[in-house]
Amino acid sequence: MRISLSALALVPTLLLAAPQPLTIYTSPVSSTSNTPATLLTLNYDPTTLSAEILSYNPPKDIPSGDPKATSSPLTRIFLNNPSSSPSVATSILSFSPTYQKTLILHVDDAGEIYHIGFATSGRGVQSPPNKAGNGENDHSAAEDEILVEVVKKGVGPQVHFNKPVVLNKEGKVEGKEPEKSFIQKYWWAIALFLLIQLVAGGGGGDEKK
Amino acid sequence: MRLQELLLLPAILIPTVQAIFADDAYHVDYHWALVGQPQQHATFFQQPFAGSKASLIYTLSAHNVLAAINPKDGSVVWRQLLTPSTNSSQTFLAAGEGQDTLISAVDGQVAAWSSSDGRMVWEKQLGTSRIKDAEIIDFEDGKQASTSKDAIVLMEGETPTVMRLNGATGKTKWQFADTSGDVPFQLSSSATSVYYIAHHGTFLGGYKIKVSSLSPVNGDKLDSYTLSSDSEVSSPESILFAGANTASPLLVWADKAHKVLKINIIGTKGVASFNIENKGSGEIERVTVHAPSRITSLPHFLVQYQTSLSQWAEVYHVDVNKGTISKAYDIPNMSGNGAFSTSTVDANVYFTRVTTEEMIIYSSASHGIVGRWNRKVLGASTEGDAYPLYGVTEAVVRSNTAQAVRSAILFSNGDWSLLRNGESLWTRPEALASTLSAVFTSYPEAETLAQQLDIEGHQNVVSAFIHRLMRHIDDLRHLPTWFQSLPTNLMASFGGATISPDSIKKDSFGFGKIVILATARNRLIALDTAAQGKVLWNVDVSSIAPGSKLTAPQLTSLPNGRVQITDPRLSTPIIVNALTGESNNLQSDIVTTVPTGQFSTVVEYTLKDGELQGHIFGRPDEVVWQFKPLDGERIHGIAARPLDDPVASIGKVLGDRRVLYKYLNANLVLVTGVSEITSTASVYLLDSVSGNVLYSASHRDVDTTRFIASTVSENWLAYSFTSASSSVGSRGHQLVIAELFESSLPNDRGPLAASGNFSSTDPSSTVGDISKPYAKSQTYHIPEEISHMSVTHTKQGISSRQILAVLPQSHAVVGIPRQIVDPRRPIGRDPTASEASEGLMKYAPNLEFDPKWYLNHKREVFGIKNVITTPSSLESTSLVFAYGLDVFGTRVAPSFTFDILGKDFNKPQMLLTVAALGVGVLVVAPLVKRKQINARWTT
Repeated sequence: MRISLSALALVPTLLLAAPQPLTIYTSPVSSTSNTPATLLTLNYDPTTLSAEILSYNPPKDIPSGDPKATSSPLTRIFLNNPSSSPSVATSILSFSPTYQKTLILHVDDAGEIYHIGFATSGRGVQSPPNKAGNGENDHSAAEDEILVEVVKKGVGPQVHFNKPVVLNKEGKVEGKEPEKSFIQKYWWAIALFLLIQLVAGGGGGDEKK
Repeated sequence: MRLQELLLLPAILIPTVQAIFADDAYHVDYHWALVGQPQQHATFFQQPFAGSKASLIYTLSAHNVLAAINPKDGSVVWRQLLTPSTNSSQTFLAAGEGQDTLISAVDGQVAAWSSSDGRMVWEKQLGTSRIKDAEIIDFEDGKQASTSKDAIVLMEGETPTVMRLNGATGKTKWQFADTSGDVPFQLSSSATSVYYIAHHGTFLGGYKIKVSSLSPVNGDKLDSYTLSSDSEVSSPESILFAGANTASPLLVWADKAHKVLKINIIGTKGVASFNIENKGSGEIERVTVHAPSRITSLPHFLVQYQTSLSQWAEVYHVDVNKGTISKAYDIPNMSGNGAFSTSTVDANVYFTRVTTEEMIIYSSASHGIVGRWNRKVLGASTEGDAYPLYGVTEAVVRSNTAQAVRSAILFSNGDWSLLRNGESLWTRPEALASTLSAVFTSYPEAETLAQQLDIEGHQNVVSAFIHRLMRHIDDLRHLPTWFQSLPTNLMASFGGATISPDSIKKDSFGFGKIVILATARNRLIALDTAAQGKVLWNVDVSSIAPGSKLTAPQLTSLPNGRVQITDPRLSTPIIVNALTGESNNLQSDIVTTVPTGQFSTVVEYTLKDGELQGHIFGRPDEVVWQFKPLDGERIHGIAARPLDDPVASIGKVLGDRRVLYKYLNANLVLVTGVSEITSTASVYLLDSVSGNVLYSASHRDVDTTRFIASTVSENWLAYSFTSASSSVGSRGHQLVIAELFESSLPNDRGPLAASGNFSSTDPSSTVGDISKPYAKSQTYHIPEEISHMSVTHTKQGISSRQILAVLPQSHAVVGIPRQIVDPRRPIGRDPTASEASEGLMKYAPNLEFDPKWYLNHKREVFGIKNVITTPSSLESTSLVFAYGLDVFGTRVAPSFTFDILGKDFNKPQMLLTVAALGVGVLVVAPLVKRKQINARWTT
């Protein structure tokens, strides 16, 4: 506690960095009466970019059935932030305990949340990084859980420059060997030429005789 | 395997880019080098230099294009695009007689341009204050060199200032500041002084005109007087004319009801008053004063009255010595709209009247007609019910008969034509310069066949066969005409005859399309791409939907050659026939919903208060998702994957025959956001149904005031921006390309492997994270900034794609081949043999635009704002159409024209070869046969 207080005194911006309580809501898209229901509450720490789930209440009355066969109503998942209220849509069937659910918090470089995301997948042998069981629905507590993933905004690709040319004190390129002279480079061609001249010339002279 | 790769190596030596061939240039492409609507007060005939026999038309258009037009053929001699910092409503162009420079004044910039070649002579920036008037002082004051006359400019601002600028250098000679608080109006000059005309409001709401005369030598205020005009002048617009540079400058105003006309000779205090007699039918809508601008011309002027139905004019004479004004004669009333213009020959003044039927020239001295011609209707005119608005005239008159009169007239449909003795020499469709939106549409016939084939493709075999049989029997009707046209077709095919530009070509290659454009001046225009961009028709939107005005039109191509226009200001969408421009507004035709057959829910998105919102189609209050960048960042641009974006292959085959699977999602939207505070630019790739962010990237040290262009297609996205100079990098332009794959591993489909279908919202039962595609990206330095990007579009998506980038600085459109900017190019090492066989080259930080990529070759395309593409019937070729100020169209074949014979293919030679071979066979066959028989007998 003392440490956090001193940090607060030194760097006021760290005030933001304290774990923030967040509440994620859901509300059906199609109905006119939008009464948001709390989906989950969590603590988000912008310094470590980690989140801890406090409670999770999946929506009830999930219609059973194959998602491909029926047109399932859409649900909006949203975060009530003072600056922005990002929201995404998913099918109500996504909350069925059959699927592995992941809530994604998209954060910028400073750790501030700018958008949320939601993804489902089949149950596999993944080791979840952060999970919280649902205490209220005891019978499905083992299965029904949600993962929270914090995704930082990517850094755009940079131009990969070629290696810079380094000059030494004399203003010359380091490590570059001095250019060979013409004779040094082509001595073998001259030697070959001379050899051919010797051999061919000698033979020709003999024939004439 | 190695050997195979080695054999594949030469494949990379094949040039990957197709340039425009010399014989294709000017044939496959078309271009309207436009200037925009010319302004009446800034358009004139003028010799490009003293002593020149021919004159050019100079204009400063409403689009701030300064241009010189050749009056012989209407071609642009030179153009300069002036870029004001604000949208200034008033721009000026002035030229002194016998001068070789023009003075332009736009916003806070005064510049002098060489009349013959359009090069800038000097430029003067006057800061934030805007220019209210600019004139040339047309007299000799002894000190001034006769070659370059000085300019006087009037500036608005806290203290209006009059300046005299040296005509040769642009240096200020003197300046006069008006501290009285009056509103500056205009400048005028006479032989002895410079007049500064201002007006100040009175308690009763009228305006008094105040004229101050300044010494032209040092700018001292010599005298000033006020005219009691407050009973007539209710707004600055009531002052009709403040004549410049005539021997006796005039100030003309009228009351709001157009009952009385008041004229003051500037420099005198007397006001002549004339009652306006309405000789026409209807209320007087417009009163215009036409006076000669030459200093040596007679002090005659003309007042034109225009009602909604007719127009007439009165000619007045000024007695300079007595200082009186008298009415000389009337020009009779004529129905319809007409344009009057002034021309001078020596000292004589002539007035030319152009109506929809006639062209008449009057002398200012007496009411006799000097010349009269009936206007000849143009051969391929789109004039229709258009009427002349205003124009400029140059006349040759000998012994009181007009030898030649040419008038450059702006018509109400936006056409700018030159009439010579009543005959139209050329027409420039300047209405195209204000295009807001455009769409490609096909000819109805071509559409129907495609539809019929589609029907046959979806029926069972028996009914499809019957349908086909019926169609073929129906087609027999066309057989006689086909036989008739056969000889001409054959001749055209072998004689190399080109398509006659007048006929609407229904070619089998699908190159002939109609482009429908909607302009800011409320017009719909159709161009034929097969006939070098010829204007097919030009209609006024308010004639289809009365009282409507297009602000942000959206055009959609419907089947059967119809186009639907929707606009926020239109209550119901308009549907027009693309061939004729006629509207057939049947309520049943209007497409209000997208096809919902296979989709249970359709989500659309709109930008509202800086937030991107997805909602159920047609129900904006049912919000599905919201996306808003953090505080300080705003959405700069949105680019969506085209609705019709066919992809031929779902994977990318690597050199070692493994496959990288593309991440293909039809609902990709690329949002670019900029933050001025932190100078960062970010891109977010959203799924437009669920609102999930699939990819994000941010760049630091970005110049947020410059263009950020972006585009999405297939499984990749591209964007460009200008990086500001910083501690780590220098200022430059960058092009980023990112490609999305289902997995980073070849031969692995990632989490989507098992599923046949994909939904943005429905839960996925496969293991793995499908919300995150694998992205591979690379950045290149580019030599120029890009203001707009789009992608070529071919029928099946088999041909490779080109990024079409608009370069505003070099007035060009380049097609950057997609395979050149592949983000998988190896960095810092040479490509391996398998990479080389894929066509990947070593990464180079600089991407130079190859001169062969320039689609516009020698042409200069100005002010392009958008580029649209459409497929032709040939897979190889995509049609491209660019608009903004200029209109430019061409066709591109990013992977060569592999499905069409080139122009250089010699058909006669091929036929001759076949014939020669045939003859050879006939001759040789008996010989061979005999030899074979002989051979049998001898053995």
